[in-house]
Amino acid sequence: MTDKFIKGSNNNIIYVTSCCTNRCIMCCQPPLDEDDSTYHYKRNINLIDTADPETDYVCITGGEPTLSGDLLFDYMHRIWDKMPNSSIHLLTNGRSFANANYVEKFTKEANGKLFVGIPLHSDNYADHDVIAGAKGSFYATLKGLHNLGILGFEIELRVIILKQNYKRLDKIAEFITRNLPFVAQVSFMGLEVIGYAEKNYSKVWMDSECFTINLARAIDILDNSHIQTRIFNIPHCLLPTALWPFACKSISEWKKTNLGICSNCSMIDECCGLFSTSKRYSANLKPIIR
Amino acid sequence: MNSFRIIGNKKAQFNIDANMFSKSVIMKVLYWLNNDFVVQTTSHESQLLVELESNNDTDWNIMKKTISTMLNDFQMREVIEKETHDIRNILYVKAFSNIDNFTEYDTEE
Amino acid sequence: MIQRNNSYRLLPFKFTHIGNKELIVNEVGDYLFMPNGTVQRVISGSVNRNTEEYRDLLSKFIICDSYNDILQDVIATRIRTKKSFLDGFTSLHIFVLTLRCNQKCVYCQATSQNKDCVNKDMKIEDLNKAISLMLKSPNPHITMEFQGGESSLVPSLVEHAILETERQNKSVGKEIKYVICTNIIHFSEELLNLCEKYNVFVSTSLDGPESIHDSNRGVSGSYKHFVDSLLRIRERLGQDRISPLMTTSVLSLNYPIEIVDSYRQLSFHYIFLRPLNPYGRAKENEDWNLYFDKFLEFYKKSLDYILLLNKRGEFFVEGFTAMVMKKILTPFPIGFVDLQSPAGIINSVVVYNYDGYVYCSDESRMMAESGDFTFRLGKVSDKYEDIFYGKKAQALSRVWATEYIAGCSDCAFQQYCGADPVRNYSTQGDWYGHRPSSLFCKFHKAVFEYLFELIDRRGNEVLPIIRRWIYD
Repeated sequence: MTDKFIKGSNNNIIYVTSCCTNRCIMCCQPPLDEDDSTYHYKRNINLIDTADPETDYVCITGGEPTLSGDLLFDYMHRIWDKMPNSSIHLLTNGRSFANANYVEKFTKEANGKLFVGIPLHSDNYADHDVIAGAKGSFYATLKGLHNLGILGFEIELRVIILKQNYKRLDKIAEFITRNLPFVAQVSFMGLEVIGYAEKNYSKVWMDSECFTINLARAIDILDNSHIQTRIFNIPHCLLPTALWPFACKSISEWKKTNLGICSNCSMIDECCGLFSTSKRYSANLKPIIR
Repeated sequence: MNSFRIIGNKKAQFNIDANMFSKSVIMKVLYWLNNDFVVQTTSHESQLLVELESNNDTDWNIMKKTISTMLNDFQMREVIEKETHDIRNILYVKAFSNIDNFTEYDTEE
Repeated sequence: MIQRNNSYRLLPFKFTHIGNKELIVNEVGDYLFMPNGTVQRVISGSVNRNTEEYRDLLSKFIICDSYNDILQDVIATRIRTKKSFLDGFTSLHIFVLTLRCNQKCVYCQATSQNKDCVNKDMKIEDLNKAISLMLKSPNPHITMEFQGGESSLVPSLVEHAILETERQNKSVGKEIKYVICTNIIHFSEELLNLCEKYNVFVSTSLDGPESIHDSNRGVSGSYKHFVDSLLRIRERLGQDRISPLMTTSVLSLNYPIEIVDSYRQLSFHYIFLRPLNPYGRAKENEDWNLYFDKFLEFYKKSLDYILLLNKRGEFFVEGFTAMVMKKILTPFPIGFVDLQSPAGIINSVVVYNYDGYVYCSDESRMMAESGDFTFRLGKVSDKYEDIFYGKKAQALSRVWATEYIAGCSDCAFQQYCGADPVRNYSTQGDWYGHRPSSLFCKFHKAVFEYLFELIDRRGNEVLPIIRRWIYD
């Protein structure tokens, strides 16, 4: 993890707490039952205090940051104070926003540039709740999304591609255009194979050759409905060329790596690379020779 | 539907068991038939005798299938309506509940 | 009462048969193609929770695990969104400034008069009153559209209308879009200046290549004049400020490709294919069943050709298809007043006629020319509430929604179609309407069936193109 926040980095991360209301089966940061937010507090304050004031991006994550109540707002205010140009990317499962009182409080406190990233695992409660490892998660998330949407918050939906949902990527896209048309962005994400993703590898992993057709359909649906679409964490060699424009360099520099075979790949500069933290990679990685 | 009897190119008769299909379902099917046919009905115990007469030649094999499908479809629609009648009302009330200033008009002409 | 072993609940939905499949449509127009027999299994509780089918039905709000509050809110929001075109009430205000005309279109519905017939012009006092009625509409955005006859024959009336509206609007503060409907063959400098100054949008008519256009308009040289004016107007006002509508006469029906090409030749990228309305001068000596059958063929051929053009990389939109597909593919309503539930009349559009009276729609004021005042709502001097919420409007409200009229209340296409009491009355003699003998019903059903067949058989090829049309 980084020791100093700087401008232009996607590495500026505030880790709030390891508590979470979900238990996603592919979680790369498995939650803890006790609240360890005080443990992380000193480090986080230091990161904010020593940050470059020109910093333009800070990610707030966990666990579930909204479980820390006022602490989250404390961080947000300090960030906007110290780094006035900064946009905060808040990663949350969205469930806290189902509560009208919480939303009201949040709206008062969140008075700076904010982008809320919320995972949507599927287009139905049966798949979503299984993936989220929590009953009621789908509906709570939907309610949270609605509340945030009504208030005009910028929302990014994050769809992590798994064995449990890869067949429905295009249907998920359609569900989004019909029921969540107010979201600003949809990000389709490849797995970081650590934590539960590593533990449940055979249960959750789906190789790209099985999902690229559905992914292409999903992106076509969203792109044509003017919802910004991105692909995270899937290397160029695993994607059809038509999808390259949507792929971005999503992996933080400090945990990015390549394989030996990547050295003579013509797309190495554009590609997101691989997670150095992943314990396993796709068997289909290969350099693109031009 | 049973006892489908063809009486020439332009006329046919059949029975509908009024125990199997509700009046509403039967009326809806006959409603859709009365553009192409003159429809006459008589009740006889639990059977409804229906006579269809057209100005044009009719393929009664196709018509028989069509009527059978329509009876089945409207019966399914009736089941759906019965089960979803209340939730549908709730959904519409919720949809427009934030509009406080309704005016009730007496629309009986 | 059917016992359901599996404890899922039904949500309101409709269905029909398309080809050898079932088309299932939910309360807000989300659709699903399923194998034959699915509906039976759904309602008898036979859908297995471990299947993709179960998930498809959940996702499209056909069934649900329980009627929980959040699900109800989601669907209620969808319903509110679908009907949000009602939010501001009447948005389109049509002013029939005159019946005078300088053409003799074979399909004319406007009962047009000789171009010197001054007593068919709107009186200034009536115009002023109509404008104040228009500004009473709760909608913050309105469109003021000048029709006729031929409105370019009364430029001083158009000018007065705009100036008076601007004056009255100072204390009201609405956003007003001005549209002038004109054949543009005699478009004066002063009219051009007016359009430039007040951002007036020009809606005109182009029926096809020269031979078809001139034949339809009943005046030779029409096409040439049209093209001349088109270039002048484009140069002065810009490419986007003029767009044509097309009317499909019996002659037009034979030339789908040529008509589309005639639009492309004049650098238009949009065509709106629509059939004739069966009244006005068009009502005489026509077999309407035959016309609509032929129109359907014309529509399919034109659409096929337009889709091919798009596949080759040219952006060209078929407007009617785009409208219908927007209803099918998106949660949003459309602004097409002819296909709405509740109906477009009064809720979306109203007509202030040259005779000083207010009518439900363009078609309904034409009935008045033949002495039928069924759809006359009142005089421009009447109170706003008496016109827009009066006894007539209330009576119409009982018959103006597909959700609750016979024949429509069960229909799988309910959410895509519209109610039209005026059309019912003019073609069937009764504003409730009789769906089995309704050409409006037969025609629209055929279009929806065709488009759904297209989605089913050629969806991968066709949907990306159509999505670009919708969201543009």
